Amino acid sequence: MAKNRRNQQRREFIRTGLLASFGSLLGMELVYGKYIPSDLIPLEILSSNSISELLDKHPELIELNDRPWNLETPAHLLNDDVTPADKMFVRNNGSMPQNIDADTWVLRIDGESSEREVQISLRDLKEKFKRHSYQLVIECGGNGRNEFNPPAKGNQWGLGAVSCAQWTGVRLRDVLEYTGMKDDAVYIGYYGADTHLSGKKDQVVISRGVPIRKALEDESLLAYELNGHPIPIANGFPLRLVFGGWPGSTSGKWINRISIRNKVHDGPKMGGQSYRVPCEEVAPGEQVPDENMCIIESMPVKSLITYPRTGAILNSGQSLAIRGHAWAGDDLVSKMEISIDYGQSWKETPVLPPVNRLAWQHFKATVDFPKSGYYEVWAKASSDRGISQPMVVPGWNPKGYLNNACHRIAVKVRP
Amino acid sequence: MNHQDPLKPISKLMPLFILLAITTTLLFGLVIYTAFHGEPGFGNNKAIKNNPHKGLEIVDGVDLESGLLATGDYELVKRNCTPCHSGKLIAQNRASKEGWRSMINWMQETQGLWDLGQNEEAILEYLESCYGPEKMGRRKNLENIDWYELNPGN
Ligand code: HEC
Repeated sequence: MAKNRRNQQRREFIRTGLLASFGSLLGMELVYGKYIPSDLIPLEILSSNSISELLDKHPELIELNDRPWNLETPAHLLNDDVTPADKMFVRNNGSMPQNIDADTWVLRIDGESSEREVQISLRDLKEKFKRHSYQLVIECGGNGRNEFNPPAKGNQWGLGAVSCAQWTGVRLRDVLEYTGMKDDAVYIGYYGADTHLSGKKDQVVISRGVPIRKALEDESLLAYELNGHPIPIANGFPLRLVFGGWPGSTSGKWINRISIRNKVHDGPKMGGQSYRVPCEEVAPGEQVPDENMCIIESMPVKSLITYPRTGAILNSGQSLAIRGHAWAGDDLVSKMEISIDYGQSWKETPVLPPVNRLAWQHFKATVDFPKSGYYEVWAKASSDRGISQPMVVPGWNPKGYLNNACHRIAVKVRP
Repeated sequence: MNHQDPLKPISKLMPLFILLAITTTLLFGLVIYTAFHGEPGFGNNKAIKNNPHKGLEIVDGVDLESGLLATGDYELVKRNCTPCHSGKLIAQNRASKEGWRSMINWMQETQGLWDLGQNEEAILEYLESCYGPEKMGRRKNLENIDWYELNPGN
């Protein structure tokens, strides 16, 4: 009942939020007309007024930004073993492409280390290359940013910029082999069809990539389906890269070009401080020159309690069945522990193996509370390399990446 | 000579009376106008029509259109800082003046933000005072918990 009301309020909030942003766009057109390039106002906003219709997303996703869209999934909505499309977070760096035509979509492969320049239609990708499906974790590098102190720049993600869905497509390796790759290949860099927020047509929004060794892994996909359906537009329709376990920004969306590079790719948001952390740890708040920043590769070990939602009130003697997922970038989660006494004691609980490499792993536990009062249930995953989640926020970095501090939910037990 | 027109003193005061009446009316009008200016449902249309900044609406100190705190030089900030992205991206960040300056420099170097000229200082002051860093430890208490009954059967 209370939950229903909350949902309704939330929906109402989103609706009014959208109306406000709709109004703001119109208002901006009038007030700041001269600053706004005419192609900047997203068509989808003008033609619709509910978030679920706009982006096919669950109405309870948290809207961090609506221009560009950045939506976070509350932890309790990530309870499914395989994240449904409508509960997948959205991290957009620019404006989404419009009038996408999957039938005429073409992928270009080029670059210094490409044997030749090739254009492959999406249709050919689907028909002529072998189809592969994997469940893969995509987590934004900045997930958890809102806990850093001093505050770190960018969207203030909480817990839920993470997903693990079933991706289907072709192996990037198969496409690179078809194209032909020179011996000096070092990196692949992607380009997508999204457009820059400034409205400048020739300005690339984001163009990142991965080293060749990651590009050639079995699970590295050029994906055209999410959970057996076309990918939602906000998540990269009609074609995107998926590199499980690496920062979401490597998994480029709306992909229309891949460059095989003979050096570390140098597209926008590869350099500077973007998606990089200090090569050597620094004190909180320290200035770090760009040349001392290193590119993030595998994401760290992490876990989420996805059931129950934080704030559960229990009767005395009622035990609590919790569920959640754990993941560790390129590694495996080998141990899962739960604490109800602020980390003074931990109890191990089983964690399942992943359905495939780079998928998240599920855990369950039953928790009993010795007496009434306020509790926090903490979850801590450890990788097969013996690395565990910290209980406080890990090493500070200027852009607030890689916060893998253990997840906490609040519980009250009635007398 | 000594005979005085009984109305004369009054007529002498007449311009004063008129002046007083006009001032009172004006003052009253002003009071009414300021009291209801911007209040939804009363004279709002007129207020907006007369307002050079169309669509300005402030609720609880927040400019609804941009989501920015409506104090100080916020219109300057709104004009320069919301053409590309929404104000939500600004309002969710916290930084010192130097931190804000480095974000602005980054946008100027890589994202096409223009030179803010002499407005930069005012923009930075607004940003620092409205969206300065908050004191927090290595980990916050769990906050804004929405408590609910968990049925044992669930
Ligand atoms: C010419 C376009 C443009 C203008 C004007 C602009 N920005 Fe930005 N800004 C951007 C882009 C592009 C991003 C990156 C957005 C993303 O990654 O989601 C950004 C990001 C940000 C961020 C997040 C920082 C980060 O590191 O990700 C903040 C905060 C911000 N802008 C504040 C401002 C302020 C304050 C102003 C006014 C002085 C401003 N912006 C004006 C284009 C602009």
